[in-house]
Amino acid sequence: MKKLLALCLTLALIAGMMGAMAGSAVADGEKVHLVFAERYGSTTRTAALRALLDEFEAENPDIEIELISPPLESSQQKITQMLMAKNQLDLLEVTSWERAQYIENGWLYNLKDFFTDYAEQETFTDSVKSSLATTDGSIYCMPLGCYERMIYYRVDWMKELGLEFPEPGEEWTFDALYDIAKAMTDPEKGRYGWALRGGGNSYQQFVQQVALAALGFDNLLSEYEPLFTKEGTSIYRTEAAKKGIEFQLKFYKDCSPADSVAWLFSDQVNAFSSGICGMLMQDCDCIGSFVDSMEEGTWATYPMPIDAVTKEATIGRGFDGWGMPSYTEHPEEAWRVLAFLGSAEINARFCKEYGVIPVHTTAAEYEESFSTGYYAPYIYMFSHPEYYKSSGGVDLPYTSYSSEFGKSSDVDLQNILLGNADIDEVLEKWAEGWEEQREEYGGYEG
Amino acid sequence: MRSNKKNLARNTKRDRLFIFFMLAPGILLVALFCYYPFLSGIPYAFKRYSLLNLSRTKWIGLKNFETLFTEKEFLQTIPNTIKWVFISLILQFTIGFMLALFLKNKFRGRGIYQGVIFFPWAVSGFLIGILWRWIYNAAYGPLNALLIALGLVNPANPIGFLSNLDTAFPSAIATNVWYGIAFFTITIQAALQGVPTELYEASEVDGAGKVYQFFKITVPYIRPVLILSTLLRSIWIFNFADLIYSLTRGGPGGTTEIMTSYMLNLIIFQSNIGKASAVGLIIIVLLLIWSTVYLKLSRFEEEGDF
Amino acid sequence: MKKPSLIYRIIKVVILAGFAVVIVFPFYWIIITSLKETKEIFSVPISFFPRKFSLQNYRDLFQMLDFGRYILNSILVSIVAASGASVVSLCGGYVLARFNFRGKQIVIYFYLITQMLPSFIGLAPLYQMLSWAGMIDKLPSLMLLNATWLIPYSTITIRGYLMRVPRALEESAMIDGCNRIHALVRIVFPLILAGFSATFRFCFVQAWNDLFSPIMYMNRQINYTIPVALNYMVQKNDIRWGELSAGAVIAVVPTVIMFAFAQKYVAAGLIAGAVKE
Repeated sequence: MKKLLALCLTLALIAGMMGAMAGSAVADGEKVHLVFAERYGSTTRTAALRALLDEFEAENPDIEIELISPPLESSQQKITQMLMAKNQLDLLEVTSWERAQYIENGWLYNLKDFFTDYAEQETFTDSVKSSLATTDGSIYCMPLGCYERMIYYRVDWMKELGLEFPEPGEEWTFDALYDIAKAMTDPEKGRYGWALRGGGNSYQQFVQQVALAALGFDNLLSEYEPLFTKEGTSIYRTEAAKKGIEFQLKFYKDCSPADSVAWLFSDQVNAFSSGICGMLMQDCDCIGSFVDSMEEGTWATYPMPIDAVTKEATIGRGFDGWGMPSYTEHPEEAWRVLAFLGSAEINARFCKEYGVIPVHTTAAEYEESFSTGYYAPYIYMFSHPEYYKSSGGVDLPYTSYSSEFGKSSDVDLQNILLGNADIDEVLEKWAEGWEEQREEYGGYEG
Repeated sequence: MRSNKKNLARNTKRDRLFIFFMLAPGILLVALFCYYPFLSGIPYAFKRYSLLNLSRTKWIGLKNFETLFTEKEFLQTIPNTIKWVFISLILQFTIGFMLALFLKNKFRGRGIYQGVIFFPWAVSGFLIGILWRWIYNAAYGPLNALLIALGLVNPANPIGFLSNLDTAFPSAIATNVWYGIAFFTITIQAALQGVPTELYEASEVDGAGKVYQFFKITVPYIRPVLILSTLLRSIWIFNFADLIYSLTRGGPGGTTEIMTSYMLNLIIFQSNIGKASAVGLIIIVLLLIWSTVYLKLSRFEEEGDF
Repeated sequence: MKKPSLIYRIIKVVILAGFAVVIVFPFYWIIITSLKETKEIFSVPISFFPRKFSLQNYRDLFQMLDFGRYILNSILVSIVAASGASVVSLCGGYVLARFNFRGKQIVIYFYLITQMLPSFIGLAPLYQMLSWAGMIDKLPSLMLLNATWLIPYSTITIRGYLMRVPRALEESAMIDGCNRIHALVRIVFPLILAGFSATFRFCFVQAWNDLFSPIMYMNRQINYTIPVALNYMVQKNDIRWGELSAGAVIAVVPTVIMFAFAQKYVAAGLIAGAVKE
């Protein structure tokens, strides 16, 4: 027995020492050591980013970059703790969910001066250019990519049922989408037309899309504040918002499995790839996972529909980007990395790997796939501003409310879909929530 | 055990040093890594403290608590939590105890069986959540597929375990019970093995039957273990927020939201550390009250064990 | 002892088998998922047995991530944390079981209350304390943290087992000349081997499954443990079930081994203890 205890203790000691030797940080001679935190880490994306950083290190032997990629679910918390404890961090990924928060807390380094000489910004897309700087001219992020939603659908089902989408444009409305989804739905055969996401930021599925489209761009407070009307009240007070909810309810009851009221992102995506549902609306980075899990030729993508009355739809401006913490000790070196990542060619290559929309208009020169195939809907949407109006892209402090709103509206929407709540009451609650936020933190003053 | 009270005045200096050195490492570590961070974090409960705008941090006294106790969503978590803890605990305990009794006597393959029973504990909580989420899925999950194959469910109408307001909570509890059985099985079995066989033999001579033996010998002998393990397990079930988060996200319609998962939401989705800390304090107070009541009720102290 | 009746034995077998099936089914599901190709995992109708066997997921797992390294880290951290906690708890538990002193109740509640503290409240102060001490991104920090968190449960539980051992045994040994520690280790410990083993195993799996600390307190990939790698498979829009299942199967192996074979070891210890008596 004594021997066992002694053995355990010795093992503990040895293991402890081994761990200490293995785990200690390595800082090399004269190289500048930068620490880079990734937010949306995943096996393919992290590998792609690391490959690009290796390329950068090869061209810039005086810089060495350590990439930290915590798992996605907790990466936000990890990065926040690092920032609050002022751990060494020189570069980080800033998504549109956190940017307002980081700017508000003064955690980001102002890149304004670096940008004055940055030639690559000439070829930024209009969407990126218009949301690059804040109202006082500060720039906090190097754009990395844009996320846009589009429709994914089963080509083989459409053929089988003799269905066809109307051409994008006047005829391609939300009602047309509903008709096709309904036609695809056959519960006896275990087939449904639509994969609704009832459980995670569900309001982004139809409620917000239809509300903004039906309201019409001209009725929005401004292109910078798409969540409020010209009267300064929340869009959730309008008839258009009610239409949005009723639309979601319609889709749930008629075109989507009953289970979908609780579906999260992965459930929705899996429902499509397993052949239960014929269509879904998701961000462009799903392209990668569908390429892996589905046979080619069975699926394709299509632009977002527009409202039948206003003949409009809104697409979000804004981008996810790379930034620098305000306390970094190596701003010059960190900027060189940012400049590298933000260049047209590198950006195109990274976006291709990851499935995001590149930020340069010249992207197709470097990666052909951006002009054809699965990405084609974006080309269409971006090149038809008469139908697709861009809005948003300004990091007002009240936009941080989206995260809380997403969670609470899920509960409300689930109750509505399950027949347990009153639509008008819910809309009233939402409107009040948003108006309170705007009042407390102020609107756009630019 | 009766001699404990007599010894009170009789610890020698040598004994006291011995006690000190045996206890010191544990107490120091726990004080440093558990209590110090916690106590540093308590003030947040009385502040307006949101990670979204740190510059607006300020002292607001009991305001967070006021908000919580007038919030429908928070108040709803109270009955949910009570149901969650008690139903899971009772089921886990009963089934675990039964299995422990079955496993008391050696039989071929018992070791393997024990390894098998312990499977649920071999992976992290989040994995259990997402795995069962898949299993319960009505569209492409194996449970419904099995029920359809057995002819118990109509393919056009699969059971939405996690999407039905009435079945979501029981399904979550079922997963929790599936998980927790192993703890009681292993713990109680280990305790049962410590019961001296002479006690049984002596009582058999007196003509005692199995049931009598069980209630008059087995249970009293392992009572301290039973009481403590149930208490600890109840606290852990209370705190098992990551299962709820991965399994249902508290849905549908907030029916599976318990107090600890509510606190998790405040941190993840609202970044409202002040309010989350307030919930944390409420949790601790509730658990303290529960522990004290439970220990008093189970007459733990009367045995002289405390 | 009378031999149990046939009916009793049949019922027992049926119930045990039934529970085994229910407990194991999700793992059966994970195992077959790990052996399926990605395209087959979600294809409908669901297959309860892989139509086409493939080890691609295991290969991908080790190629995509430094999974071997994570296994090593997990083993190191879990063994050291569980051992450290068990030893400290044996000491503390013994003293709390055998002696009476002022403050004994306080110590017990001191440990008991830690179980009630929600870990999030202390996250920022703990992180900053570790950061200040230079303990971020060092594997031994994980060992230390996990050991600390396991001490309360272990101490209370081991104390419970120790209290069932009559004082007379070690007191007579001490009269014969050995000191307390000797008595504890040679005489008392073998008698609680079953309980100690159960507690040790629980500590091991708690440390083994700890997801939160490695994510929060470790930075570089070489310091990650198995749960982190598994959590990594949960991506923005999708969950990579193929690789996740492969990783989960591997993660389960040490625990199963520990629990299946611990019984033999414990039984041997009990026999040895009985012989001594």
